[in-house]
Amino acid sequence: MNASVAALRIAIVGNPNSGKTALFNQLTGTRQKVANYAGVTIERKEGFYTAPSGQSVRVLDLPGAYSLASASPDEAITRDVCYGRYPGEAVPDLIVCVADATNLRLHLRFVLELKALGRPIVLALNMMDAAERRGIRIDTALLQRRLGMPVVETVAVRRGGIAALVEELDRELPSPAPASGEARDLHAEVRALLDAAVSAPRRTAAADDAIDRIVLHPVLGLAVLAVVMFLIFQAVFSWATPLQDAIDAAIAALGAGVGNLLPDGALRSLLVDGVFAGLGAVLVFLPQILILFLFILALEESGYLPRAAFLLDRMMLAAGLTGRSFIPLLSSFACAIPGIMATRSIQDPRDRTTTILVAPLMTCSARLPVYTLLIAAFIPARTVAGVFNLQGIVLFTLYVAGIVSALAVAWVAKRLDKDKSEHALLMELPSYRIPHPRDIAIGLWERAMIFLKRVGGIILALTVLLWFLSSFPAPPPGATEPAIDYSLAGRIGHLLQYVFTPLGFNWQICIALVPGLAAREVAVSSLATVYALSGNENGLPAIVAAQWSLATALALLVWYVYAPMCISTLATIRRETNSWRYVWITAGYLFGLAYLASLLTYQFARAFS
Amino acid sequence: MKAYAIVQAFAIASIVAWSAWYAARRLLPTVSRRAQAGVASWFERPGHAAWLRRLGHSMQPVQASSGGCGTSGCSTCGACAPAAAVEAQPLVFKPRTKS
Repeated sequence: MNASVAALRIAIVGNPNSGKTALFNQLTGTRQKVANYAGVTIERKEGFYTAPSGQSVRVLDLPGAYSLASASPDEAITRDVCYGRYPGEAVPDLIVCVADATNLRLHLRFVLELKALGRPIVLALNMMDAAERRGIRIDTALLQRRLGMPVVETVAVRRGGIAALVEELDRELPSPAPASGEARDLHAEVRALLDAAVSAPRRTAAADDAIDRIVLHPVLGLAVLAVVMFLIFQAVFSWATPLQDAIDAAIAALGAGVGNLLPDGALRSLLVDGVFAGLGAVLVFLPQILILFLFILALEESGYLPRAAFLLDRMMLAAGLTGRSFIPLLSSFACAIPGIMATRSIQDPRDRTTTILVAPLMTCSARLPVYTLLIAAFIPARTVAGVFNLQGIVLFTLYVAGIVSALAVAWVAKRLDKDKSEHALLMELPSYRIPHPRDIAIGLWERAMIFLKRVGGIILALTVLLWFLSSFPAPPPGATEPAIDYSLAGRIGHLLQYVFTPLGFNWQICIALVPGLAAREVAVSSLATVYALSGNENGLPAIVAAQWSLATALALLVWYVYAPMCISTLATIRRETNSWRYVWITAGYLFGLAYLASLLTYQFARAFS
Repeated sequence: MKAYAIVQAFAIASIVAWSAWYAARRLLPTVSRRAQAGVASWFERPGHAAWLRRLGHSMQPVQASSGGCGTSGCSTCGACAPAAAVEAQPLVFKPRTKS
C-alpha cells in the first residue's frame, strides 16, 4: 500500500455499535461522538492520517448497517458508498469492516455480505478485551483463512489498541475475494465459521443477564428508570450552587472593575449593562449544564440507554411512536438539531415524521438557564421528605411535562393519520460497560466548549443587538420614564404586551421572547440587559422574584416547556423533510400549545393564589 | 472629551455592526451569503477603481463548508457531514404494505 502517491481511500463499515467511530477517532486523532448504543453515527465523516510508511490515508467513517439491503436513510449512505454509488464519492480502495468480537454471530453475516462485493477488505475484530474477559476464544488465523481476508484484533477504545491494524493497513492491498452475485445461506455460513474458529462459554455475558433481570423487568425496570432520572435532576440543583456562586461573583467583580475604568456613557452601558449583565446571567448556568451531561454521558457509555428504549417501547407504541424514536428523542435533550438528524435511523417515513414533529418538545439544554433562573427565584430551596430538593423536583416535573406532551402530540398525530399499522421494535442491546473517566472528561470538556462558544458567539451578538435596540433612540428632552421605554425594543415590548397580557407577561418578558427564538438562553441575557437598562442594580433572580408574581413565573416556565422552537431547529426540519409544510405545522402547534398552556397556567394560578 | 466621544461612537458602531453581521451569518446563512455576493459583485463591476474591484473579489463568499450543521444554533453536535456531502435526507412516502 505504500507505493501509491495519491491518498489511499479507506471506508470503515460494520454493524451498529461495533466501535467504528472509536476506531476512526484513534486512526485520525479526531473526537467524534462515541457511545454504547446503535445509531450514534448517522452521517459519513471524513478524516486523514499518515501511515508509518508516509502514505497519506483518507478515512471515511460510515453509519452502522446490519445489511447492504438497507431500509433507513443512514444505512443507505453506507450501502451507496460500498457500491460506489454515493454522489461525489469514489468507491473506496479498501473496506475496513469492524466486527464486535463478543457478538460474531450477528456481525459475521455483514462481513460475508461485504466479501461478496469483491473488494479488498480487512476485518477488525474489535472489543477483543471484552471477548477475553468473557472467555471467548477466537482462532484468528483460522478465521482469516476461512474468510480469505486479513483479520486483525483491536481494542478501539484503548490507546495503542489499534497498532496492529495500522500496521496491516500499511501493507499491500489484500487481494479481494471474487465478487459473488448468487444467493447464499449467510446464516449457515456464519454458523460454520463459528463452529470452526470460535468457542464461547455462553452467548451472553452473565453480568449483563443479571443486571437485565432487574432493569428490563416490566415493573422494576420502570421504577429504576424513574429513580435514575429523578436523581439526575436532584443533582443538577444540589451540586451546582457553589460553582454558580463563584462564577457569579467573578463576573460581578469583573463587570464592576470594567465599569470603574470607563466614564459614564454609552460604551460603559454597553459593556456593563449589555455584555457583563447579559452574558453573566447565562454563564452562571454552566455548572448545571455540565452536571446534567455528566449523567447523560455516563448513561450513554454504560449501555443502559437502549434498555430504557426497550422498556418504553410499549408506551411509545401506544402514543404513536416507536422504540426507535427513543434515541433521537434522547439526543434532543442536548439539542433538537442532532435529535432531528438522528431520526434518519428510523425506517418508516411516518414514524420519522412524527418523531421530528415532537423532538422540539424534549427539554434541550438551552432551556435549562430559563428553568433554573425562575425556579431559583420562586421555588424555595427546601427539603421534601427529608431527602429531596424541592427545586430539583420542580425541574424534574418540567422535563416530565415535555415528555408527556411529546407523547400526547404523537398520539394525536396517530389519530389523525389514516395508517394505524405498528412496527415491532428490533433493537440490539449492547453489553454493559463501566464508563471510562477519560471519555466522560472529554465529553464534558466538549460540552463546556460548545456552551462557551455559544455564549461568546450568537448569545453575545444578540445581547449586543438587544442592548442597541433597548438604548436607541434616546429619550426626548424632559422624559420622565426610564430611557428604555422610549427605545425601539421598549416600544416593541409594549406592543407585544397586548398579545401576552392574558398570560401575565410584562413588556420586559415580551422583549426577551423575541431574541429567545434564536437561542433560548438569550431570553435570560435579554432579561438581564433590559432590567439593567431600567436601572435595576440587583442580580436577575432577585429582580424577577421582587417584580413578578408567582403566576407569571409559572406561566413563563410553561411557555418554555412548549416554547416555539429556535430558528435553527426549524431550518433543520426544513432540510430533513425537504418541506415547508412540516416547518409551519411544527411552529404553529408549538406556538398554539405554548400560548394555551401558559394562559391556563396563569389564569388558574392567579385564581388560586 | 470630544475625542473620547468619537472613539466611543466608533467602538459602539463597530461592535453593533459585527454583532448584526455575525447574527445574520448564523441565523440567515443563505440570505446573508446572497447579500454579501450582491455587494461584492457590485464592487467588482467594470469601471470601478481597481482597489474596489479587488475588494469585491475578496468579499465574494466561499461555498459553505458544512452541510448547514455548523451554521446552526447547536454549534457542534458531532453529527455534521464533511464538505461536499449531500446532507438532505428527504422523506419519501410510499404506501405501506399490510402485514
